[in-house]
Amino acid sequence: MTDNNIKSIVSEYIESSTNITGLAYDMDIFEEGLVNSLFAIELMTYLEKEFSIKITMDDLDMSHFKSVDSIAAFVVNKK
Amino acid sequence: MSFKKIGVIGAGTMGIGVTVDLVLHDIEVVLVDISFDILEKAKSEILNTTRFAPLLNKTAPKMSMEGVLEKIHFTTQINNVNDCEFIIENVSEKWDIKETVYKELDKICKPEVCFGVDTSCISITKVAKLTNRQDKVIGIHLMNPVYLKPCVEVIQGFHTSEESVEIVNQLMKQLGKTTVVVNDYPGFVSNRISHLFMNEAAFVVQDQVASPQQVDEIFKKCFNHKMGPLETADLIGLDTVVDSLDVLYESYQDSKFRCCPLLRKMVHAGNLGRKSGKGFYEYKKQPTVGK
Repeated sequence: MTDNNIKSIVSEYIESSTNITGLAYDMDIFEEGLVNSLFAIELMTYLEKEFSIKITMDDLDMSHFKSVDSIAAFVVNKK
Repeated sequence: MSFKKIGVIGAGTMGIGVTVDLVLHDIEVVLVDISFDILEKAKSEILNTTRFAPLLNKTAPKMSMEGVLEKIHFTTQINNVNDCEFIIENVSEKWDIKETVYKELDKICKPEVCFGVDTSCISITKVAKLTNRQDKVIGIHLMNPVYLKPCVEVIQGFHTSEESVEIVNQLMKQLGKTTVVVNDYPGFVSNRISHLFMNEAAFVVQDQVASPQQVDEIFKKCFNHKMGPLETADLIGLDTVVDSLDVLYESYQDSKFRCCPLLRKMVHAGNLGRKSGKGFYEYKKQPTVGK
């Protein structure tokens, strides 16, 4: 799976969860108030299932999950 | 006094949130509900939330799944709270259910144990009257997500003693929270006001003045609220919101609390908000863990 594919899948998931369209890949989804803290936990669970990865305690850093770009880089790194 | 073991009655949204917060603060929990299906669902959500809690709360410990489960006793037997030092009750906002639960708790628990009523609207004084320890019944209005909220609305019933207020203050301090202690009238401060917002927001949608997104956007972008009233209603659960409005209406006999027909219709249709996957918004279903 390419980096772009991952970005597209993650972006679609965030857009459908937040009822928004045209999400910029570098937008900080938490800082911009697009999603709240509850969504962070939903996002973790989704990423594990969708990309068959295991998020460990050491991965629990918000910088990995702040935007579509950073999420895709994290997933690529984990795979 | 440092609390070590607490009974949590009701494993719904709030019961889960309370349990997570207690476990993250190294307090043992006896979690009671009426069916193992509900408890299994609660277990999955508790594991999910505790696992990722350090992402959102830097002070939360990194706990293993086994470490979390060691701290919780899941049970359908309310008798198992007999050695708990404090009770936090989170059952539905239905009077007949509360009545049964408190009469049983009063028989089961040691006489010195305080009962924390985690209610949205029901009178603490009325709940206390169900027991022979009216001075030890106190309102604790916790809010979701419990482990991220730094402050709690505490409600002193007519007979609640200052000693009970102090005990709750100590427990909340152990959880890293401050309290605002208010007096007992249905809905207290938070829900008496917030439910008017949520109800009127539903009327605005019903009357096609604006979409749910537009209503919430105005609250977030113009008022700087973190969430809009309809997102909040979805988070609380529309069934709970309707139940609370009914209690407020019945208590004050004031038409300003009449429930919006759209809210009631959504509840009848099973669109309860986040917990059912659909309310004013749609939500992705979460996979379960820990089974």
